[in-house]
Amino acid sequence: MTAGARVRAVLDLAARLSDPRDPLGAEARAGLMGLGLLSKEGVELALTEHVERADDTDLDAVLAGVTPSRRVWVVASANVCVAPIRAIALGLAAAEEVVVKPSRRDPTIARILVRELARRGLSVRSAPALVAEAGDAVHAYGADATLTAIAASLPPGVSFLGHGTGLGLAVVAADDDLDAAATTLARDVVVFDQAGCLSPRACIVEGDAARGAAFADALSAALGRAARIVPRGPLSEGDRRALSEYERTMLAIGDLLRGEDHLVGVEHCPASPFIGPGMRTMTVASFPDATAATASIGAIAALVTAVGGSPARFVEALRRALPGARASELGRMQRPRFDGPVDRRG
Amino acid sequence: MTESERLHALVREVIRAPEPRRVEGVAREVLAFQARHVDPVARLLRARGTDPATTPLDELPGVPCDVFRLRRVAAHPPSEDVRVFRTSGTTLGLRGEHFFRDLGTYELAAVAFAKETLLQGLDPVRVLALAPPCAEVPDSSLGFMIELFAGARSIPIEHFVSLAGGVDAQGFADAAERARRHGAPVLFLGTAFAFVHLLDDPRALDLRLPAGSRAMLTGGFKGRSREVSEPELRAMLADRLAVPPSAIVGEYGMTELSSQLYERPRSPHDRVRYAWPPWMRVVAVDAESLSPVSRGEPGLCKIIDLANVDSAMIIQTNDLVRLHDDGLELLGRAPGATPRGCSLAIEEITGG
Repeated sequence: MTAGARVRAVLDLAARLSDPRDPLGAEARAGLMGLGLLSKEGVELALTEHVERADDTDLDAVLAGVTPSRRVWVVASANVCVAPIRAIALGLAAAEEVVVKPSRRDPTIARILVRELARRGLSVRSAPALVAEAGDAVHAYGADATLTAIAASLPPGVSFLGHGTGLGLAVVAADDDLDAAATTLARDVVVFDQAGCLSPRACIVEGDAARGAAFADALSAALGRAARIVPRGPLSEGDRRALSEYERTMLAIGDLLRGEDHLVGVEHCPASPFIGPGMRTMTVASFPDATAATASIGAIAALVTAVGGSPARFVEALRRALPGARASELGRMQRPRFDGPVDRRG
Repeated sequence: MTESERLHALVREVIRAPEPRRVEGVAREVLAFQARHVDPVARLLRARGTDPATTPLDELPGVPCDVFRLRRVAAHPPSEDVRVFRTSGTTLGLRGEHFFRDLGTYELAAVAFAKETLLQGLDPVRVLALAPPCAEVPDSSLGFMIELFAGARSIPIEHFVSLAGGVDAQGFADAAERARRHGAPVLFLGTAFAFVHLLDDPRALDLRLPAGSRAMLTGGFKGRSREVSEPELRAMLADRLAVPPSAIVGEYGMTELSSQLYERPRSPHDRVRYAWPPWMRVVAVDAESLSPVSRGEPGLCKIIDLANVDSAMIIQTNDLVRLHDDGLELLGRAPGATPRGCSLAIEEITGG
């Protein structure tokens, strides 16, 4: 089977996972709901609108971009429930044999894909532990500390490709309509409850403090509307504690808007935007110009995997400061093209 | 005399002669001053709708430690800074900063309570410091304290950590040998992770200290060295330094404070309890509501430190503690949010 056919096999299964009437789609939904990480509606949103789709151009780009290997080990991360689709597809683009180590906390999609791909005759299996040998490649996804530990544990001769922690940055330019921008950005925030490395965690607004506050109001309203359709998933005690911590810190440094399922913090010209703990927390930081905004993101620049915004000059200035980050419109930050790993920071 | 100078003078009087009603009265004055001049304090009081004059002290909101990384928490402009203490860095390189325009109150508070706890009954001839000298890290509050203690007793300091060379285990072993020959007790101070490095170093063969010596242990136990539990480290230290377990004294302090808590004397099998000075108040609060919890219940540690005149007198930490009649039990960091895959964890931002 060609590399292209192997990747197509994964994408065909992904399409079936999307379909709630398909037995695989039903199994995925039941499994993900059982984890209690996302709401029922959140699971549905992830599976119907955020599984990988690809045309031939995308597929060619993927195949041209991979480094062929004898065998690829895929170490999947938790919480972005559909992430194993791309991870396994990229593994199969690089090697005929793929071994998947599913996330212990969120193994659902990886297990279904491994089982179904094996049934179709592909050399794909899962393993509880990583036992790579010389000549193998490891594609690992997850927290930076995890990746460092994995890389250090590998024997000589194993190539390592790690995709670590990151965050998305939304940008609203002076000419952008605030309500429209807020409504589209809310879509990016709601998906996966901000658990992904592309998930926007802060929004840079061009303008004075009043414009920043006006956008925060619009975003809070949009997140409130979005939550009525897709409520936030259950929170653990630690999650609630982290949200409370964000809330009290933001109250001391700026302003805070609370919704049933979200928090929006507001700052003007901070030295560095205060990044919240996810779970639908957004920090809106306003700046008078691109120079001030670019200077303020210096500390987080290495972590920014995606920049969402219009093609306005202000947005482009920030994109130039973050050359490794994916560029997209607001509302599409969580729908990266299937053109290689989601994280392109290298 | 400026208002800040007047308050420093008042707080120093309280430190010299602490009396509970006086503490409360001065605390109200300091808070009123900070509500007018320290932006994060003012914002927090406004947002919570609390009146600093009438709300019970224990119920007033504390400035979260994170704020010291994000904003200047000071009643004075940068031009009046005489010293800045900084926390260690995080993934994002953000360090908390505590700005001082008058170090006199800090010095008085640190030495006064150390004399009643860490230094009580100890007459050291020398300080051995497992920390870099102040000249190398002038923004380290630990380095500053070490110099204070040595200055208070007019004794010399030897440092066995440098930025360039790390922990000098051989140097410390040599110093311990000299101290044994001399026979007079020493005060040995360091962070948990530096102690672990020292104990792990193969050159640190004989670390025994003279009888009557004491070691001060500070900092987290999840360090840049291998992780060692606190009881394990204490036991190893007592064994290798040849001092009784009671001679290992824990210090609980933070860059954001001007006063420190010290471990109470205890029998070997007792749990570690920290005592705080009379000009300080410690409240355990619920992690979500931030309301005080009942005595003995676990809660986040909120500290009211009168000596923080020009910054924030009330600090909200993320340390989980339990308050007992005989002091504070440190339970560790409050568990954070569920790990979120490749999403940046809040601990990586805050350094938790």
